Amino acid sequence: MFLSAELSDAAFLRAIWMVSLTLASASLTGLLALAILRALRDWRRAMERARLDGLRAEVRDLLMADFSLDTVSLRQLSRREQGVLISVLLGYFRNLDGARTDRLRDLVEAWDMEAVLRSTARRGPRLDRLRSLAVLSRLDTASSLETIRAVLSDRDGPVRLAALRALARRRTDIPSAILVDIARSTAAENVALLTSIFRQIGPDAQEAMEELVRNPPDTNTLGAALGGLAGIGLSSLSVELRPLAGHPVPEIRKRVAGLAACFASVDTRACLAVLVTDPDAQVREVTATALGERKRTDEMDHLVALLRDPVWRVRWAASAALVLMGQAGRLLLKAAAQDNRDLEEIAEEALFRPGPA
Amino acid sequence: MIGFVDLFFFITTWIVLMVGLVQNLIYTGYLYPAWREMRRRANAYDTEAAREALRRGEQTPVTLIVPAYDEALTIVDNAHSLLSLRYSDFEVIIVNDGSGDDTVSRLQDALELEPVPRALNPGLRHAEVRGVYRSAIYPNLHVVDKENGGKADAINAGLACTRTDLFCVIDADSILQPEALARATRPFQEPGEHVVAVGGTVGVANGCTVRHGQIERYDLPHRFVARAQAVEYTRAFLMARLASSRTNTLALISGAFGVFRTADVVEIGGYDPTTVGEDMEVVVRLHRHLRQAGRRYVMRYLPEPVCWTEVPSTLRGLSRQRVRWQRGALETLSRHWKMVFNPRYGRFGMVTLPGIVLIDVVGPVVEVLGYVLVPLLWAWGTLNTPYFLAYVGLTFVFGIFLSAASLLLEQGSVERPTNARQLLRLAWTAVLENFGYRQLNNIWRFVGLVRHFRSAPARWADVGRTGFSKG
Repeated sequence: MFLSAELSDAAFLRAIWMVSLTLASASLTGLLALAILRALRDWRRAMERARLDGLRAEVRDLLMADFSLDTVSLRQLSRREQGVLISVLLGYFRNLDGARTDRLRDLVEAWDMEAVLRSTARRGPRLDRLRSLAVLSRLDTASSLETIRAVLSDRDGPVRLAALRALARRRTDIPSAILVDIARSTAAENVALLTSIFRQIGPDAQEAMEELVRNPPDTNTLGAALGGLAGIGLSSLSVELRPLAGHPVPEIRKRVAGLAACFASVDTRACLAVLVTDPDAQVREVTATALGERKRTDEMDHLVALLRDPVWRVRWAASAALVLMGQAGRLLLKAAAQDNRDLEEIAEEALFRPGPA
Repeated sequence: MIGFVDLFFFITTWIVLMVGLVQNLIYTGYLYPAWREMRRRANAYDTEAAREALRRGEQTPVTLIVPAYDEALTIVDNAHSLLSLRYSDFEVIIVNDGSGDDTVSRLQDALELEPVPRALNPGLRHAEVRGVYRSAIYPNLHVVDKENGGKADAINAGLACTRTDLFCVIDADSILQPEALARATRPFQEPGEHVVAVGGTVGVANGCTVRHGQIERYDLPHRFVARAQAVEYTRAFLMARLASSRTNTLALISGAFGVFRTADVVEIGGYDPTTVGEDMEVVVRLHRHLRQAGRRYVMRYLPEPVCWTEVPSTLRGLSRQRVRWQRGALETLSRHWKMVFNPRYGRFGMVTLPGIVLIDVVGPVVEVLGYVLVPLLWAWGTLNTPYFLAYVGLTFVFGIFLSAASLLLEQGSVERPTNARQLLRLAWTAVLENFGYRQLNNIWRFVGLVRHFRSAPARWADVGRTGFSKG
């Protein structure tokens, strides 16, 4: 008969037991502490809820009705109540333009809110700052514009981006250097947002975006700039796309193809001619779609070549692109499908539903 | 002098202890990177930006593939729920996998389906498609009616009809968060990384009040079996997947919700219809293919709940599910055995897959052996008290630490709707689930292991769901 302890280290076994016990106790104590903190938070919220619900209802009623204002000034409210008020306003006005924005302006003026909004935008919890900037973006006063501009140089990246978005919404001039600077410092984790802001600013952001295409700090910023340039209806580009057709990152080549679809220049034509034979099938697929969007019948040869691509999705995209070209493309697709049984089903679908999904 | 039998028991009991220790260390190792990932991702979603993108129609087009088998009772409601998602450009493809009930005719009546020509990508294997239909009411809803072939087969048929760059696979009975797609497609918009797949946290919907296809009020499951799974989802799934996401070694994206880049999945031939663990298999095959091709890629996991699902609330239903999961994991491992400890596959081959071997193959056998052997030997006086305490520490007490620490990190890092009372109930469940629930789980995994080697055929699993509010 053996005893484990005779052959092993009993101290090691005891250590396992003690460590397990200690860790389990500590984590359960932590959970208990968290539950207590949460109970306190919930209790505080419950206490405030009635008052805040009343305030919310009051604000909503005012917004819905033709308000004749005889209410307290925002300055008299607690900081938390101010936050709720701003959040209600933002929730109500977030997607509104025109007449309803005018009512927001009336309300801000009548309640003397702008000073508080400007102060909150400059300092405080990030969420409150973002909300305040969103409300300020819908005002038309010089002081609110000044505040937004001041926040552009804030240390907090998301706040700077929110200020940029606020300026874009105000349709005011944004110096190209500032745009480039903010993009360089924030794009890495905010590609979609930055692309959206570029598009919102529109042609005024062209210079900044082209600068970022020429000298990108990273791939994400380059992608955001290319995406932004594609969606704002520019008549020409002053940056050459052809060199980017050989960019090592396929996602960038796809964006280059998407951008080339918007401009009928020698450069974009040469660029697409390279991308048609890209080694990455996803790039060829996007290129086919881009060729269809250009609707240039003298480029149909590229699409006919892509109808024989080894990858099915590329063939499908080429078929859909030919349909986008109009009658000439449709006839060409029908003819190609007659000679190629593999294309029959694809052509039938593409001809039934004009354009890609 | 030590005899042969004594030596056998000595070695066996130490293997039991060491395997338990390594398993627990692996789970402990997940905690820190998972917490870091949660902190990093917690504020990543910009509601205002997402709303702006929705308003301007700038969201990446996605196809939702919904495999359905005998879902006649709920399919129309589910279709309406999916069509009300807050997303600017998406298509829904419901794939009827040869249901024996009137799933298709209910869809036909409610959505006015009409046949449309739809070319099927020939690079994907699936059973014969009887027809493709489009709703006359909702032009972005298609129904693919096909012969029965299993869930993976149904997904392949949907994938063959997919035209968008991204597709999302969801279970027909899953409840998506309204902003789920906006959250899950965001990582794909970063051109600096080639993102091939994004998974999201699946919440336990048992106990919640569901109205119009949305979670109206959050609550914990009423039944212990379901509540224990809520703790388990945090400890074993959320922490492990977040940690793997941080090191780009994610081995599984839940079949209940996952967004993939269409071209990459088509390139590997789609899902494998011959396995019950199609969700894990496709992810492992993607790793294999992309690493063999020397391509840089990323798979991400989001800590926010993107989808809610009803978990089995009876032991019978749970046992079926766990046996099936275990078989799925083992099938995947046996198909990709060459990747294990293969430096060609980097951290995924050297760390992740060996970890799965330890937890899914060696773990259940050794743990079940331990449940029988250790108490017996201790009762007979063969094992001393320090060993017994160490075993109890690793098997029961350390499990409490892992569950409680996971809950603590999750609840403290990410905004969750849990109130203090619910948190205390979860803490209590984290203690209790280590006495019975965890052991049963290991026994079911052991059964799955045995059945895997008997190679019974794969089929859609009935896990005995009862409805959200009853769970």
